[in-house]
Amino acid sequence: MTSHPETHRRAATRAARPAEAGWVLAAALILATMATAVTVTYARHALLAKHSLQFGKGASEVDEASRSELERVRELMRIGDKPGTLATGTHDSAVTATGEAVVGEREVVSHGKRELRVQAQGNSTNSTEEARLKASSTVVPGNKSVGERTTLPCSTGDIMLAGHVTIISGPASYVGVEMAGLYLLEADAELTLQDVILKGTILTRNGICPDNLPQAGSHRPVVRAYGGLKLISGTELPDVAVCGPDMVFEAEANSRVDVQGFVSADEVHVNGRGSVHGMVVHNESEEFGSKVRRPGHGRGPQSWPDVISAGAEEVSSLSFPATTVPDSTISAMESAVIDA
Amino acid sequence: MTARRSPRTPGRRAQLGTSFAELMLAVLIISTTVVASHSSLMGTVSTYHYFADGGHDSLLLAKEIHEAALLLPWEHGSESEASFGPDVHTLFELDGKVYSPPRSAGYDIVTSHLGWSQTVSVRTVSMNDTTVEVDPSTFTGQMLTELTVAVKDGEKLVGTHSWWLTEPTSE
Repeated sequence: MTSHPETHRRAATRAARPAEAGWVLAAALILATMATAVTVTYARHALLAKHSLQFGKGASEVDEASRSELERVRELMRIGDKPGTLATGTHDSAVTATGEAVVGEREVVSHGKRELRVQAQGNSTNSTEEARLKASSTVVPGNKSVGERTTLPCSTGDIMLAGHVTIISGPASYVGVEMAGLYLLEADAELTLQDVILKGTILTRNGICPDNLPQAGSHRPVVRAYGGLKLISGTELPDVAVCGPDMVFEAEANSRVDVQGFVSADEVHVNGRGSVHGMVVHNESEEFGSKVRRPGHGRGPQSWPDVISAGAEEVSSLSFPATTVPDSTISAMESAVIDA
Repeated sequence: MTARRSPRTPGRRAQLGTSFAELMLAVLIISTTVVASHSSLMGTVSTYHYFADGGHDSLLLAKEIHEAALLLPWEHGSESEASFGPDVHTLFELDGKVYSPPRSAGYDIVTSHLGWSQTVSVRTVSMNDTTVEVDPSTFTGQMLTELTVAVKDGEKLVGTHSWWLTEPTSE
C-alpha cells in the first residue's frame, strides 16, 4: 500500500519534465521571434532610409524619372497632343528605360495657366519608393521658332512677304511678354493677351486675301485682352494694327488698351480704358467704353473760316532750314540748256 | 510488470505528442517570419550594394551630363551661348561623346572619379513605344528625344540612365 520514496521522486520528475520542456521551447520561440522582429525592423528602416540617403546625396532614380516624365508631358503639349487628368482617364503613362512607371497629368487651371503633375513609381520591390512633381505652365501654341513661314499667299497670285509670322490655330495665351511680327489667326483661334506689348499686326486669312472665305459664328477668331495691351502697328504692315474682317476683338472692363493703327474686325468690344489711335472698321458691332479715348474720332469735315483772328498770339521768330545744295546740282543747273 | 507498465504508457505518448506539436509550431513560426522578412532583407542588401557598388555615383555622374544637356540649344544659330566643351554647341552634338575622366555640368573634370567615364547618346524614339528608335526624317508619328548616359568604372558598366527631353521654349 505504501510506496517507496524513490518511486515518489521518479514520479515527481516525470510529472515536471513535460511542463519544463514546454516553457523552454516557448521561451526559445519568443526569443527567436523577437530577434527576427528586430532584424526585419532594421531592414525596413534601412529601406526607408534609402530615399533619404539619395535625397541627401542629391539624386534619386525615381526623382529623375519624374523629371523625365515632366519633359514628356511638355513635349506632348508642344506638339498639340495634350494629356488630361487621371480622373478623366486622359492622362499620359509610360515606362522609362530604367523601368520606372510614370504618369503625367495636365489640368486647366485658368485661361492661361495649366497645372502639370507627374508621378514616378520605382521598380524595386519596395513599393514606397515614388516621387511626385508639380509644375505650373503658361501655354503657348508651340515653342518652335516662328520665323519659318515667310509668305502669306493669296489665290489671286499676290504674295505677301513677311519675316516673322506666328500662326495660331487654337487657344493661345501670352502673358507679360513683348511680341513682334505678324500673328495670323486661323479658324477657332483664341488669342489671349495679358500685359503684352505687340509691335506688329493681327491678321486673319480673310484679312490677308478677300478670296479666303470669312469665318462665321463660333468659328471666328477671337482676341481677348486682359490687363494691359499695347498694340502698335509694325513695319510689315505700316499703320495696320488689326486686319481681320471676320475677327472678334474683346477687351475686358478692367483692361487698359492702347491701339495705334488701323483696326478692322467683325466685332469690336473695348470696355476698359485707354486710347485707340486710328480708324476702326467693324462689320457687326462696335462698342467702346466711356473711358476709351479715340483722338480724331467723330470729327466732321472742318470748314475754313473767312477771317483768321490772331488773338493774343504773335509770331516771335521765324526759321528756315539751311539746306546745302551740292556742287553737282549747281553744275547741272548752270550747264542746263533752256529752250527758248 | 504488466500492471505497472500499463498506467505509464498513455503519459509517455502524451509527452511525446506535445513535443511534436510544439516542434511543428516552432517550425511554423520561424518559417513564417523568415519568409515574411525575406523581401525586406533582400531590399536591405540591395540598398547596401546600390551605394557600395557605385550605383548612386553613376546616377550623379549621368545627371551632370543631363544638366548640361538641358542648357544646350537644339539648333545652330540659336541665341543661346551655352556649350559643353570645345566641340559641343548643340544637344545633338553630344551624341557619341565619351568623357573620360568624367565631366561636370560645367565641363570641369570630376576629380573624385578619375577612373570613370560617361558615354552619351542622343536618339529619337517613338512616343508610343520609347524603346523603338526612329528616323526623324522619315517617321510620321509622334517622336521624343531621349538622352542616355552610360557610366563606367574603368571597363565595368556601372549604370545606364535615360531622360526624355523637349525642345527649350524660345520666347
